[in-house]
Amino acid sequence: MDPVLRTLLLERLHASDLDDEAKRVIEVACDAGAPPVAGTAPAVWLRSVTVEGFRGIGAPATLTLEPSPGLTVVVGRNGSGKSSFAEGLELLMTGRLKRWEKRPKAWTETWQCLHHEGPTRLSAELAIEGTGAVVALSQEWAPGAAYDDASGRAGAAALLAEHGWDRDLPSFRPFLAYAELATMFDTLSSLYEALTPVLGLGDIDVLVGQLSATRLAYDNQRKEVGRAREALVARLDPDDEHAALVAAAVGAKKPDLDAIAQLLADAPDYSGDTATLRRLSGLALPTDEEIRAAFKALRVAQRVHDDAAKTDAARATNIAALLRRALAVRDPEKLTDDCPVCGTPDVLDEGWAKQAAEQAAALDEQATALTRATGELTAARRRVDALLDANARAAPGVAPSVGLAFGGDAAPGGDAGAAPATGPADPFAALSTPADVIAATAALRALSDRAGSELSRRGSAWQELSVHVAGWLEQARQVQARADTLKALKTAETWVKGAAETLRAERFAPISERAIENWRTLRQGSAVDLHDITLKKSGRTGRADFDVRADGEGANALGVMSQGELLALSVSVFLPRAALDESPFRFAVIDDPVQAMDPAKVDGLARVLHRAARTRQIIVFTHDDRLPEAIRRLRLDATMLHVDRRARSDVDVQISRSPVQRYLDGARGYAKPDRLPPEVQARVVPMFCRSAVEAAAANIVRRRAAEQGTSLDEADEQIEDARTLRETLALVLFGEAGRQGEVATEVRRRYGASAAGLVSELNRGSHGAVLDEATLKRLPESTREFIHGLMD
Amino acid sequence: MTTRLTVGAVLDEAQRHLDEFDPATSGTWPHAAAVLIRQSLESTLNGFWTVRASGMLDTSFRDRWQCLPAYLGDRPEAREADFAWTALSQACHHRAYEVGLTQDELRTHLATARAFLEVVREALA
Repeated sequence: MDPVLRTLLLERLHASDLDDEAKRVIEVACDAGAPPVAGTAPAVWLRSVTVEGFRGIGAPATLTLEPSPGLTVVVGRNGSGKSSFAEGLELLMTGRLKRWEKRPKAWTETWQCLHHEGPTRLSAELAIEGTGAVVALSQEWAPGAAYDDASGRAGAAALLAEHGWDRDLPSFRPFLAYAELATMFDTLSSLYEALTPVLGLGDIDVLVGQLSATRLAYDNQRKEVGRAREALVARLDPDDEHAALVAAAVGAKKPDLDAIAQLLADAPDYSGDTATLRRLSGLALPTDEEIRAAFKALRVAQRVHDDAAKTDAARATNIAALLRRALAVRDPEKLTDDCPVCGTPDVLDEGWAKQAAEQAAALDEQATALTRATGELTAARRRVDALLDANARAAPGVAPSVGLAFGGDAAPGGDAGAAPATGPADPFAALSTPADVIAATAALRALSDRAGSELSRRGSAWQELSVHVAGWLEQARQVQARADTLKALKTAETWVKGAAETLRAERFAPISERAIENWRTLRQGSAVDLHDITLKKSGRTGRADFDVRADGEGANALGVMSQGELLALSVSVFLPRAALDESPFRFAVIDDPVQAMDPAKVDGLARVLHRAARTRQIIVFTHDDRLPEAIRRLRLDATMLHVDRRARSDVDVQISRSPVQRYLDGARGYAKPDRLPPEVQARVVPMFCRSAVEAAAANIVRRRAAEQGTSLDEADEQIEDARTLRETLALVLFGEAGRQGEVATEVRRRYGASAAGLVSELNRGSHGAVLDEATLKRLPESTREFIHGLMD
Repeated sequence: MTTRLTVGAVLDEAQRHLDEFDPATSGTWPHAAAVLIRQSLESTLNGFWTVRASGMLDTSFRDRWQCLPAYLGDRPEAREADFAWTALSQACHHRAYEVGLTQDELRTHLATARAFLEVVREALA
């Protein structure tokens, strides 16, 4: 940002009652801007324009100009090629031609001179103020090239860039063509655009743009977070408790972002529904092999048991016990004993004892085998029963609660009608065969799989959503953090806009005043008065408002103005812009401003141009003699150039008489014998000669100021203030009018005795003293010589 | 004295043409007013030279205006009068493409002529 502008703005800012955050926002934005362009472009005057093979000019023609303040009027009939100089210079300096930009292609196709073979060449010499260094710009186009073909432009562009002029050209474009003059008021926004850059407030507009862009970005983010929130809530499944919790938190009027973060951080706890699904999906189910093996083992155990059960285990045990008792009661002293049960004598002998012991052992073994078979059978049956565990058996009853149905492929998950159909009946009523169990297991497995897929569906849905929620959360946190900044941005933007308006008005005031002054000179007979010009920014562009009143009526009477009046108003506004100190261009080129003006306005125009030419090199192109005539009649100081176009576009530029020349010619003419009564001649000739010296002196003082870069306004005031010839000469010789007493001596010292004599003769003669005939006769020539000496 | 009275009378007549609507002069009054104002300017100028350097009456009007500052000083009223006279002279000749002077312009020239008369009167007094 421009440092001066930055300081100006910050001073106002600190004096304002904005809150601290808004101030901080503006300060940051001020510093964030592009670094200021270092240095200013040096001021330049125009020394010459040379045009070859361009539009109306064939062979090279040069317009030579005095690189100092003053009015130069270039006169040439329509088609003389005078505008080619103006447009050539514009094209050379800016690389474009404003007048052609909205024209159809046919306009720009025949831009090269038809009478010229070889390349088009434009060149210009610019004299830098202060140093007097001359910069020569030139560009060449091959025959047939487009006018905006920039291939031959590198050199000129580099020179313009080197001095920084390219940067200032858009703002202070020193060219004003008739077409522009005429259309300046077509849109008030274009006038605003033409005037605003010269105020140097572009940086503030950029600042406003930055603030507004940031504000917009923050605001959009805020809105986006709001929209995303609704979308998110809509997507979170209300049947999933965790999602529902998150949805509630996100959808709350003022979402508690920390709580949402906590919900995201917690792993889902899978209680309720989810737990049931998990149980179902995690059922431990036997394989078909296991089922078959279990049933086979049962069958085997059954058979073994059946075999063993053929013996009466109790009886065998009892008999074995009886036999052991009998053996116990037999008297071992006797070889034989009687039976203690039936009393049969001498049957319990050694043989019996041996046999009874063997029988008892066999009977014991039989009983043990049966017991073992029974145990194994029980175990096998238990294993078969255990093929479906409690979870599996409970599954059919639980499934409907999570919207799943057991049994049959026909039952889709969540079909409410399926549950009652299978619910009451025990699906495991008959599981006596492997096939029964395999079928039940298959149904259970299907159920389990469904539960599993439902579970993973919920899981992945959540996972995806949680990413969204996390993303949203991050944005929401940023929005929350930026809420204060956003508020400050809004305040800051409004404030800077207001400050820009004020600064704009302040900076524009001098231009506006000068333009109004110009208009009052120009309006002459016009009933239209210009009261005020204001620049208003609205939206991206802005408008220039002209408070124009016709006969004191109507605050915005642009509509009642004639084309000539609008033209005059355009010139009124353009000239103050060209006169701004900020512009490095000390020259302004105006192409044909006279066209639609009535004679009285031409007089006003001559005065306005002449006033502008006190400090600027004003070059005006005109197609008729009205402006030169007015200038001569009003005795305004100006250089007239005549442009003539001969056959085959040979253009000739001839300097018509400068004021000095005109006065000298007048003096010569009136010095001729018998032209005037002698007594009149004696007064008139010295008067013309003195005017010639004064005009030359004024030129010298102005040119010197231009060369040295000192104040032209001051130089002009000095010239105006110098009342006498001696004062004027003192200004030339010593730089101050006050030393008029030393003029005679200094003139003698520098230019000789005859020159000193001439000065006194001019003074005496103009004041009525009658000069002798011989002196009078050579007066014009002596004056010419003296002026020559002064100029060197 | 007769000169001054005549000039004054001529200017009054021009003023009447500008102020009063006379159907008889419809369309021709601007031309008539221009002629009258120019005539008064010339009479004033000639009156001045008659007194100061009567030889000037043998020169052209252009010369008479050009040499005026040498005797009258560089007065703005004289410059304006010169300008008004040039403009009126052009208007008094018929030119195919030019429109006549407007009422406002004529009034300005009329005022100039009165001011010039006043300046000359003072100079000769």
